Amino acid sequence: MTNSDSINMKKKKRKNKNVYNLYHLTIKNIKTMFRDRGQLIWLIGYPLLLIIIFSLAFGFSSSRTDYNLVLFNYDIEDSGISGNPANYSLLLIDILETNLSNSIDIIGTQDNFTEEEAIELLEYEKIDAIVYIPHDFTEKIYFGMEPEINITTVPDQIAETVIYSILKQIVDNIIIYHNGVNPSKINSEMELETVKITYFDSIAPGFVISGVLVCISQLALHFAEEKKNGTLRRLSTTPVPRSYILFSGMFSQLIVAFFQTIILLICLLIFGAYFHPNANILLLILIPMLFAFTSLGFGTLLASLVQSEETAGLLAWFIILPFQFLGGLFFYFESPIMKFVPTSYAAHAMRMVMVEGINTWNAIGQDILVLIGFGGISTLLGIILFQRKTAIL
Amino acid sequence: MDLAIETNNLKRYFGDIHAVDGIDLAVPKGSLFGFLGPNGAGKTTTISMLSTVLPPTSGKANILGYDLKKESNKIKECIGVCPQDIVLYERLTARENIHLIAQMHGLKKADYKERTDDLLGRMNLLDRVNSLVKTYSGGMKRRVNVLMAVIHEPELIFFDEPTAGLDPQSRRVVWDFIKDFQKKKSTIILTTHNMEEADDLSDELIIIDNGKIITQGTPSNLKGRLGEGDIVEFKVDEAINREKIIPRIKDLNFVKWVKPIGKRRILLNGLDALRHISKIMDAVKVKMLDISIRENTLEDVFIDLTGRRLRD
Ligand SMILES: Nc1ncnc2c1ncn2[C@@H]1O[C@H](COP(=O)(O)OP(=O)(O)OP(=O)(O)O)[C@@H](O)[C@H]1O
Ligand SMILES: [Mg+2]
Repeated sequence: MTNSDSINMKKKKRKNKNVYNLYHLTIKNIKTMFRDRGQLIWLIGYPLLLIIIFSLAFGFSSSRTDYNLVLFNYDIEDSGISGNPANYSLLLIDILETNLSNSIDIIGTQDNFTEEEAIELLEYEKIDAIVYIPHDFTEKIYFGMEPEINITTVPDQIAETVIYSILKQIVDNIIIYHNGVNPSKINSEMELETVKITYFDSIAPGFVISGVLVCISQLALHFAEEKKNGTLRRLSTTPVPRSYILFSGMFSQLIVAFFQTIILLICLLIFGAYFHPNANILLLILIPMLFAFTSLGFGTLLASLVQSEETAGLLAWFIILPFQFLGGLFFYFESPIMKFVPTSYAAHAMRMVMVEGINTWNAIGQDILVLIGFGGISTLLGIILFQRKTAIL
Repeated sequence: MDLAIETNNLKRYFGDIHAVDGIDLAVPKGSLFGFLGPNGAGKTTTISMLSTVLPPTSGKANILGYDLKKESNKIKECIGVCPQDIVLYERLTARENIHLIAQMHGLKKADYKERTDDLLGRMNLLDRVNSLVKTYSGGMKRRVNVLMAVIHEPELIFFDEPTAGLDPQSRRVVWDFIKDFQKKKSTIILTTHNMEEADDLSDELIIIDNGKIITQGTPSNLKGRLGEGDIVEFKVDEAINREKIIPRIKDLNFVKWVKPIGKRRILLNGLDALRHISKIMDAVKVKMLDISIRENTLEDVFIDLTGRRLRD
């Protein structure tokens, strides 16, 4: 013994003891976690596997059979041509819409979109072309002049050719029908700066979320291990409050989730997932962290209910899998059930920021509040249960 | 007398199992108090309750002046527990494990760092101090297990079979350790299956069986109740023969008591009667096997009280 006055030890103790406890418990958790290779494989390996699978399955754009376009028809004012009821632009549209043999779909007009909106759609290749019919289209045909149509297409030679030739053919037929002589002139140009968002791009943000989701199982496993080995019981003979043991578990998982998020974002970059130029990198880290908090709430609930690692690992997946699929991480679907799955909010917020580049509170504020709500309630319940249920070990 | 532990009709049931069935303890401060009893007697359960991790089914306990139910947080500040099972973080080093307990007690680094290494040195663990505990042998782990109970120099220490599975040399180190803490006025509760350990170390001890205290006293005091003199133990060739000779032995002059144990064994106090016993055996044609003569032990006390051995 180096110190003989054992009774005096009490006086030397720290004032802010709980923070001190929390700090050392967290360090301990992180050390034990990083010394366990199996856990690390789960944390990065699992989401990485998802990324690889999905990038192989959906990462490449498939060949297209239909071309979507937005059409702006400015040839709708009264042409002022007396005695002529015909409006050739309406005829053109009619033919485009009714002729099922061509591969063109008009998905919008000036009634649904502004020109700016249409250009943005084109930039993201959500449509293949914008068609502008000038105000003098009918007039020019009527007077035997050369009618013009302007189109802007995605930078895809095939799309441009198909759309050009279909329009050219229809307009020239209209002219012939009208006994006209001059063929039409279709001015087409390609929009060079477009971004093609593939299916993979649109679900890419979900991989970060599904990676973070694994911390449900990590936390439950962590406490199941502490229960099984008796270390939780051993800690209970020291003055550290049980809630701090729980918090330290959550903290260390949050720290891990932070590194996990960064690594997964880098993986997505490497795999060529699309990041909007306006995407806010802080939000891209913050949203998964918030979701980690939500997941840890559920993990806490689970941790307080299970005794063995086997049950913890198994039950965690009963939460993780529905959360992944019903949260729409990998497949889009519309269902009221999504409202009850926190994953869908995290995925939505991530998608907004990463793919759409919209960082405003209006766009993601609701998601954030819901995540905090889910996390807060489940953590609170978890803490109560954890204190009670684990009293008898 | 100042008491470190005082309990009143302490009970713990697990469903139908009466693990601890009404225990009244009075452990004086600064004493080394032994719990002796066979497997399943309720020793560990009692320690779990006294060390605040298992709520009693009923009864009262006062530990170091604090009420067990209401002031368990105060109690946790002053106790150290060495559990019967080895409880360590396998993926921490010995040093990290011990430090963790010190940190949980709010000790400053300056206060625990040197002491940890000092303790590790005394337990002959210094050369492996930086490897993870999962690479240690069972005996090494058990030594770390002991150190984690004492790093914060608690007023009251529970050692639940601290020397199980240790070789004689390590066992002696642990015993010295325990004695050291006793010298420093810590109160110590020690459970053990090792008679020598209980006998040598305890100031006072209780023998527990089926959740109840069956006797209490100092080791010499308990052994003294069996009477002075050595114990003779032997085996007879056939179980039925034992019934024949026991009444006859009881009638002999110098025999203080006779106990049948197991199927074929007989234990008796009365070395001087041995000559007569041989005659009796010859008369009824019973063979005497495995005879041994020894000083009486605490185990004999247990046998006297229950008719069973502590360990079979
Ligand atoms: N958690 C539990 N659930 C059910 N029964 C239990 C539990 N813990 C202990 N018991 C029972 O309580 C009784 C006393 O057990 P305890 O561990 O206190 O004995 P012990 O005296 O420490 O024995 P040993 O010498 O084998 O360590 C046993 O019958 C045991 O089966
Ligand atoms: Mg025991």
